[in-house]
Amino acid sequence: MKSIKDKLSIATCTLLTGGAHQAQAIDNAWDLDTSYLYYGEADDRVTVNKAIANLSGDITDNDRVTINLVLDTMSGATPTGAVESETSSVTFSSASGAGGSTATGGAPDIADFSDTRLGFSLSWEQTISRLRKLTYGGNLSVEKDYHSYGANATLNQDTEDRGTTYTAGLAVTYDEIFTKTGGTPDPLGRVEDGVTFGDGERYTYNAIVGVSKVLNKKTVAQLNYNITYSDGYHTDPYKVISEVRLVGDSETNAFAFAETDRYYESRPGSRLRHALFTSMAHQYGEKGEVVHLSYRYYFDDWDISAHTIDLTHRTPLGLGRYIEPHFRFHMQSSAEFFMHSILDDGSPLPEFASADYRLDQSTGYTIGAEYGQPWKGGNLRIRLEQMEQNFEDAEYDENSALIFQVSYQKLF
Amino acid sequence: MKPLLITISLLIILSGCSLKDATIAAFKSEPVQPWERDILARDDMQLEPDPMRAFVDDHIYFSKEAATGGKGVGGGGCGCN
Repeated sequence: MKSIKDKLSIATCTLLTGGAHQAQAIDNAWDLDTSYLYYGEADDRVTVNKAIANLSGDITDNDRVTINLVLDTMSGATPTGAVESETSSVTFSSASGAGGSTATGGAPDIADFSDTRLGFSLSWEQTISRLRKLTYGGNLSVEKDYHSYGANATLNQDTEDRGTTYTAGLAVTYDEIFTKTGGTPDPLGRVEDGVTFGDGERYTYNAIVGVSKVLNKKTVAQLNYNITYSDGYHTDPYKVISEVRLVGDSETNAFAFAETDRYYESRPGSRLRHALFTSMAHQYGEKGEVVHLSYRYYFDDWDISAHTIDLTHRTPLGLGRYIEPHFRFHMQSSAEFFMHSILDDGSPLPEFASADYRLDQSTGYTIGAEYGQPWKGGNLRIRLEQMEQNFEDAEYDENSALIFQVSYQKLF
Repeated sequence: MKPLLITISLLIILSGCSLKDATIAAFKSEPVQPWERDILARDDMQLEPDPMRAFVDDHIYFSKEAATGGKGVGGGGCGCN
């Protein structure tokens, strides 16, 4: 009898020890995710090489921290907003007029640049109760011509059956904007005059409310509303806009732009943005295929509205491997102050004007696929995608880019 | 670029995407007990299954489009737009 009692005691202790060990292993689990991105635009335009490291882990039973480090190197050439004009009368200075931190010249309507960005963020997730979590954090980003500092907090509240989660979040960001040579150019000032003011500053306030819900055993869905108000310097200090005259050819009946002057662009001093975002994940099929579908409707007080659809479909291939095609579609209207150029007809200059192609009416799509598999105790993911953009009125009305990303995640 | 697009399109077709079946079943609402959440707990069933990919995409499209936001708050700013 005593023997049986001893054996039971030993067995109980073993179980308790094993359980505690397992729980401790989970509590101390650290998750390291690393990634490399190559983004390359056609025609020797922008190239970005990005390295990311994301480390997260539980430091107590109720606290989890995540540290994120990003290093970007950017180079290539980017449209300045000026028109291509063989008859331009403008004297162009690339160092002050275009494209980034070490502009070294290039054609007048496109400018070479290179820059490096270092980003750092830290977030802290606190489990306040079984159904409530609070996550807060801060971020810092530094470039040669841009500094950004931010803080954020998000509250997640589950319902008693944990079938629904409500989310509310706030963030504030402070940005400093300046050119490599210091200060910011005079908005709608002549490029030839080169008048500069002090550094630009911008405060951005961002709030989100959302709900995610388990619809059934194989489907979860989400709906978010996001509002963002920013106040301060919104102008791109490197972008310009041409003043032009139309030059006609009586033989071919064709017209061309002849640039008569060039100004720095000017944007409003505030922006109010709204985004309604919905997404879902659904598993189906014998193989356990998973489809992710999302849609975003966006509008702001610059008169831009946009629709974005994103679809991925993951098919398991066995042994932890999968293939996941991806399709994304985006269309947007133009900002009210976007214009290809300013017509030189003696009229006074507008209050705001930008020829930045990103503010133009456009459609774009991205198509590609990701492949994933276990590798050396972690998860390896490789994706290759092609992005195509078409712009309605911008001087450079197309943009093509290749996106290649390889990521590796390991728990330890 | 064309061979790449053709290859990717073929991958989509070969992956056996059956969206019609998925759509019909997806929106059926029913209570789910805790012991029935094995599928929902899978990594690929999270609303953001690959945060690293989402992080990179957010940066790319923030740089190249006028619209942004909708998924959350915070994140590092940059001078790319």
